[in-house]
Amino acid sequence: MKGKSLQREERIAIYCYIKSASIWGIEPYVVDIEADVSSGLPYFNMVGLLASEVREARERVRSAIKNIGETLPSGRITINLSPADRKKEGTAFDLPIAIALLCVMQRLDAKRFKDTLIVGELGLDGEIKKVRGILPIVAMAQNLGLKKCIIPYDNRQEGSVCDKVTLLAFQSLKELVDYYTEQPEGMSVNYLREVSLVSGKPDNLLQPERESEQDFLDICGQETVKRAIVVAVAGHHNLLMSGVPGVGKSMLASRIPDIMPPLSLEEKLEVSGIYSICGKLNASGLMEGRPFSAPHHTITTAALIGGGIIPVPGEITLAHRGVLFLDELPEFHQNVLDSLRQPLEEREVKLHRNKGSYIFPADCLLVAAMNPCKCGYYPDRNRCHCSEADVKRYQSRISGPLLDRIDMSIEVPRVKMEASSVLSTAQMREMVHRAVERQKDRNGGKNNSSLSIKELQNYCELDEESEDFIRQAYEKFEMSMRGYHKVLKIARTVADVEQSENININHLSEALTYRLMF
Amino acid sequence: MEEDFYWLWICNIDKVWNATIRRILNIFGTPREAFIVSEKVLRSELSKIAGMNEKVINIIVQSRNREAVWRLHEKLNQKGVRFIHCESREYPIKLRHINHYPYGLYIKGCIADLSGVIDGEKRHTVSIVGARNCTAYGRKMAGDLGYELATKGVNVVSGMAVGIDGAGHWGALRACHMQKNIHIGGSVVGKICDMQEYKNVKVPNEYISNEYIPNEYISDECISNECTPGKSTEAGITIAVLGSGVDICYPIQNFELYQNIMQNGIVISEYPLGTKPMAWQFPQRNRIISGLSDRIIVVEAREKSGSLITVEYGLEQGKDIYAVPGRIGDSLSSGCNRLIQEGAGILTNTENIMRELELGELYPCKISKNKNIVLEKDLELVYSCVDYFPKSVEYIIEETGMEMTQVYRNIITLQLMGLIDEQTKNHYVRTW
Repeated sequence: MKGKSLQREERIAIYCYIKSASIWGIEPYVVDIEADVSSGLPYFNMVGLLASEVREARERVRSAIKNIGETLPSGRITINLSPADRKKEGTAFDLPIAIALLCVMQRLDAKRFKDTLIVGELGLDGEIKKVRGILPIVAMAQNLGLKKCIIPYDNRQEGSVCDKVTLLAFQSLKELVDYYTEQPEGMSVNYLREVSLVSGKPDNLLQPERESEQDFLDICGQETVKRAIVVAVAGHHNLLMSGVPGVGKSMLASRIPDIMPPLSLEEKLEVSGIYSICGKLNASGLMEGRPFSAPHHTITTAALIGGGIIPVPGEITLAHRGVLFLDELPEFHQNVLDSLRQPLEEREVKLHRNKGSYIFPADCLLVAAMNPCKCGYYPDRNRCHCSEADVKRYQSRISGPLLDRIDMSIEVPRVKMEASSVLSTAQMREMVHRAVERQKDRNGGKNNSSLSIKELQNYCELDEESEDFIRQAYEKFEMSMRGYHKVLKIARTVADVEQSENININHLSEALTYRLMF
Repeated sequence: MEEDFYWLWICNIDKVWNATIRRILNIFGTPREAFIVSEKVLRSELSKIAGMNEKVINIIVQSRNREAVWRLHEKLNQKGVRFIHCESREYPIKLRHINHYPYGLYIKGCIADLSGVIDGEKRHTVSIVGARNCTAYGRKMAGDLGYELATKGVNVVSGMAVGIDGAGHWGALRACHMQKNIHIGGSVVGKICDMQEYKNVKVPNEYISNEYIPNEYISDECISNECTPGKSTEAGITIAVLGSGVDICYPIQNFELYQNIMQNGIVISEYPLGTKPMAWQFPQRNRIISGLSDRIIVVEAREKSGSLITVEYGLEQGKDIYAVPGRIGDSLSSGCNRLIQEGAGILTNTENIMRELELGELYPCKISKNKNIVLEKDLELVYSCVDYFPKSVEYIIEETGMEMTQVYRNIITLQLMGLIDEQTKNHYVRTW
């Protein structure tokens, strides 16, 4: 009787489950991986709405387990990834599946993985390769109160940002198995010791903030443009630079993130999380500087604002809290530019799919650059042979609604060789910093560019003289009401940069010179 | 009257242009003869003309339809277009003297008597021609020349193209409007024409931005010189010679100009109503421009410019050529400078234009404008930096050595005063 039941016990399914995680849009979520071996013909089956790269994990796991000297049980193996109604993508499930199998095979003790979240890709030889999205996944594990995370060794710096969870970073499956078979349970480990124990020396995690190698001093002249950049950054006004080719528009733009106020820790985590999901986080762990994203003008709508069946963040989300630089603006496809309208207005991207909506953050400063005409030299008639109509046609490639969302424009002129450079990055950063502080105190944390009409009336009071001046300008330049509000906002920022309480004619004049021409 | 009918017929045969008409007239003498001869004679005579093929002969034969010609006549009346032929009383004698003069002319505008305008004893006619893609300097010069000439009672002829031509016309119209006390330009654009047909056309800024200056900026002298309304005959008339039918406005950007000329000047063309603008027609119409005028002024032209075709016609017809000089190295002035080298007259001054053009002081100026503008020191400094070639802000800051914010302020103030204009982003030119 007893023998019979034992026999039966052996034949009954052996089951275990492991926690893993994946990314849904930009949100991490927990995936439970269940492994089951039951008697029957040898078969390896995986279920749970899997994309093909997840399905292929079967082959990688089989080989990896074989190549570390273990043998898969000869029965019917079923792997289930739950929640089973969400499409799973990515390669991060290889390692947890392998571990689940090893537990089922009783090579490892499933109890020791109870509070552990596991992600990693496997090579055929058992090597653990890096995966995307480690930072938000580990952060999620920490929030859920999980104690340990097993991550690929190459992702260790990214993961180490969260310090309340113990990280175990392995280079290969063999290492992991050895570690878990040799280490008795209950021994508390911490990441750094663990890494040194398992895979050699730890890297220095907390590097001092590196000074950027580029400086605004590198640029010859262009003081007016630098000034405009300070104003644009200080009030978060989207900026359009136009000028002949080769005068430094791209150079200027690439230095803009350096003068923006430093990111707070939450912002750093947010930005690094996005970069981690896109697999663009560099080895050093947290993003220190503001992001700068400069997509080529052949970019598609999906790549710019995000897209896909399960949407992936686009360049505008990668520029979140930083600068989105669109060089050669008129060369972008019309529909691509038009797709920017909503994100620029609401500072987030909304993507709707039948499985749900996704909201990606997109709070970036738009900096665009363009030539004044097709050949680039207008109005220098010695070099530019474009007709007026050609020039108009070139400029009208940018749709009105997008131009509406650009607040300032500035001409980047040709400079003389001997032109000196006055403003440095440090000085500009200081100017921005002070202006931003003033704004924060007054507007209750809002940028000048996002002031409402009511707030404008409160914060942008004009004296009689200025009122008269702006009224004249309104008539003369045939401005629209929106244009008028833009000028007021920019004038407010100019006044902030000048550390002035009130807006005067000088500030208004400067704002008027920055207004859009077409 | 009967003659008019036959002329209208011969000038309106499809695919039969001026040269063919000449050959037909060489055979038959008068259009009437060609209309009334029997079909057999007509066919046999026409087939003797070199280059005449069966198809064209058929068209000519079939076109001899009185009803169709009357219908055409009706249509002209309806559209307010006047047809004149080379034997009409209104046909300008000056034009009659050129080679290949057009047999028929279509006229639309405020004055029907073209001959009275062109050949009148007291009138002179000057054409202003130049590049389409011109600089702000060229536009300014053409506008000023047109204005000065028209105020002195000289007619201004041009081709109504964009660029110099358009600016010349607008200049002349300005004088016309000044007399009627209508301001065009600035923030006030008189709604003169009915824009229903072409709703999307907007007057290009470069033409209208430079005339209206609020009175407070002009010294008292000038205001006292204000013109008296109602004497519009004093000002010269502007004449646009089109390369398409007179009922077609080409280029469409000039629609407002076209309407304005029709109200205050004359639009003429040798092409029948509804003729589309074809490239070959434009050099052809240049012979009419030069033919109508006594002097030809070239404002801006590249080394190889269409304006030089007008000059060539002009030389052939024995007209005097004048050129507006430019800087060495400016490609848009190279054509003009070469003309000067080859002996064209040099215009150095728009004020004494009559003397410059050797027309004599025929008409004492009725409309005068005084340019004594009194500016503050800082404004003056910035203003003096800006000229007819676009200057960037960076340049002005460097030249004046003033603070950036001060320069911005002065630039905006000058713009508000209408003294300078922002041609493209942060590039400024003088308008006054």
